[in-house]
Amino acid sequence: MTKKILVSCLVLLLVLSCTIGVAAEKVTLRFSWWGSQDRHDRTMKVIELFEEKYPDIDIQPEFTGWSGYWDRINTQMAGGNLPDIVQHVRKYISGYVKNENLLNLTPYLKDGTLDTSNIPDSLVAMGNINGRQYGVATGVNAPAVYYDKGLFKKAGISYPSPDRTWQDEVALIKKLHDKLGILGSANLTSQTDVGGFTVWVRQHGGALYNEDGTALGYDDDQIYIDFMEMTLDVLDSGAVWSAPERAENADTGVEQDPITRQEAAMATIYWSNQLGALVNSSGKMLGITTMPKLDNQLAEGRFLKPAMLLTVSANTEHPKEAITFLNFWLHDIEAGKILGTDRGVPTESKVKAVLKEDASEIDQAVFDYIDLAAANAGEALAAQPPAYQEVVAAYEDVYWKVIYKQITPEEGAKEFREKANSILANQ
Amino acid sequence: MNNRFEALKDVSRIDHRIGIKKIIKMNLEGYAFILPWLIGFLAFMLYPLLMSLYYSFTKYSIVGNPEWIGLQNYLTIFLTDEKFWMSLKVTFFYVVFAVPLRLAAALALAMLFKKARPLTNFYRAAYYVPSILGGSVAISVVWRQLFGSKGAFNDILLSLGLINQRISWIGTPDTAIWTLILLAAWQFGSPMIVFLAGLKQIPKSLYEAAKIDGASKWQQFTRITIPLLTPVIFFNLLMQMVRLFLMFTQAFIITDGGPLDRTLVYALYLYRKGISFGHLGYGSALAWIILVILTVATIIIFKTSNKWVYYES
Repeated sequence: MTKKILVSCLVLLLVLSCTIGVAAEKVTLRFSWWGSQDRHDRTMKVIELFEEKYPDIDIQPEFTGWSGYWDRINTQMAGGNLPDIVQHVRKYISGYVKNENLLNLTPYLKDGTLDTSNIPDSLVAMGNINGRQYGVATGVNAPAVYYDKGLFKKAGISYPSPDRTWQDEVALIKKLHDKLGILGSANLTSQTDVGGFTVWVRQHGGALYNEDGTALGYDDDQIYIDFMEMTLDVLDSGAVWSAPERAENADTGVEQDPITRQEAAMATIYWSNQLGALVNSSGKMLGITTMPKLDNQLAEGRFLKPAMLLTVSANTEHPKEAITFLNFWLHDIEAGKILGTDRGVPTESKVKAVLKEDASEIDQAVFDYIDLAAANAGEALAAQPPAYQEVVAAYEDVYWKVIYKQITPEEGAKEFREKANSILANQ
Repeated sequence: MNNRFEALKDVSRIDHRIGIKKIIKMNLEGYAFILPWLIGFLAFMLYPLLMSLYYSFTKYSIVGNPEWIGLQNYLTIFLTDEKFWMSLKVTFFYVVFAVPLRLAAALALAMLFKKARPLTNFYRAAYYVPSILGGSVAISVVWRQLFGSKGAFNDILLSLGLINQRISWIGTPDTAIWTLILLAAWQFGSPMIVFLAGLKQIPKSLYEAAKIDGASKWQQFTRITIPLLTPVIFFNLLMQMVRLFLMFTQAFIITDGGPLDRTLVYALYLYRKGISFGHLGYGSALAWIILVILTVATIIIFKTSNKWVYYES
């Protein structure tokens, strides 16, 4: 018996030493991402292309859908065996940075190993968390306001411009409602995502969260009060959904927005990458523009958002090779063609130009809009604090109370501040 | 060996030992047969159960390791968590109205289908369908349409002249929970089947005797059917109470806890805290609290049962 064990051990050792010998010549990088089947196919093609160009690097793919992805990554993180390259989202990244699970790319950025030529600085900054570079954006999205050109013509109103203010927006929604007898828009801003309020706060020179994400980033409650009073004003005019209508439609998808049935002339709460879904369900092309400005604004509040980030794990043994892969991903024209806009509109201008040449009408419109949004965007948003989802839920709770007239905007401002600060202080 | 008795003792001892061996062997066979279930039970029921009890005393998010904080979760829940009390209130309100309504509907239909008429079996099956579908997402979506401001329910009320403008039944704080209660009442299939079986157990002779004594239909129902059906009512009450206490899908899809948390049932709140926000420790504590509440409610129903449940024996 012991002899048997001894022999099998020896055989095992032999085999292992062989594999180690082989591995030494070839570097293996694990790369994990989430997505649809379509994304998996595209990514696998890009990996093949990369391995052809860099035969000494072997990419080992690990992919799932969104739902199980973070459980797996968290488990791997706990076990200290994160993949070398991890596809990440900005909303979850701060927790990983805090735990020091991700590689600080700043030195590589400084000495040019990480190649960011042809990528605008504002887009490079999207991978920047607390002043350090932790990833690169695969592409960008931006909040967008959609409008039905036909209905605007019918009402005899000119299309909304990126220079309009919030007052203009409110007047516009009311006017559309008066002229057409339908909703001006389903709502002024969304309650389920603090996007509208975030822009508003930034325009007042604040931010939703303070710099280290431990409290709200604006001091004057009047900012919240004004915002909610504006919201109530539109609500009471009947130009948008009433509170109960809004509640019953709270979870309906983009395909069911009233704009798709010509029951509203505008849609204000979506992202640039949702144009396709809206156009497909409306059966016609829609106009697209930015969120409004603030009259006498202190700062540009509108923003772009990285669709997702590619990050390198702190425990990788091959940082150089991982960065080689990132550079290929960002700059290789062929790879860019394969990937398309599946991970947002590419940040690299050369890749973008090639894609634009043979893009569909919808993609063309999105490309143009991203340029417009980039020209009208302020600083990149800071990464959300780990407990941001609860802050959003608190915002939503208070929002409902205000629009159902349970509490006044003044009480709402206080309640939101108390709840949010207590969540942020205890995360 | 000194005498016969010792020899006898030896024999019996040997016998006994053989017996024990036999018993062990027989039991081993038994355990071998239930081993798959046993492994499943230990790995997928008992272990998670005990782990969740342990987690409920820890601060544990999906990221990182659980950190022991003693009773902190429970204290926070009871002392400062407004939503916990709100969700308890909502759940109790829902259970108190939905369970009796569901049982009443089930009993009414069971009485209707008791007599064998042509097509009875078809009808029984047809009326059972909502219960099969009831927990499903599809029905929840249909419900949302029905009771929305553009829904058919408003059309009916408008044409009857009961209301003069459309109301969003699921968007109005005071009516939202009632749409869920109505949905629960409509899913009466499984208690109905149990009632049917119970009704068949009642001896015909009792009814015949009552008829001869000149009892009306109503008297027959209240004096014979109900008393003899109490064990079945008791069973249904218990099962449906537990089931509705843990209702999740309908509230999640139709109202998502809104408006103003007026339909935030306990299971939904637990899901949000534990899964959406990733507070696994806190969520585990919430789960154990509802377990205790359910246990207490069950005990109360059991204790009162000897007052109103009538067993023929």
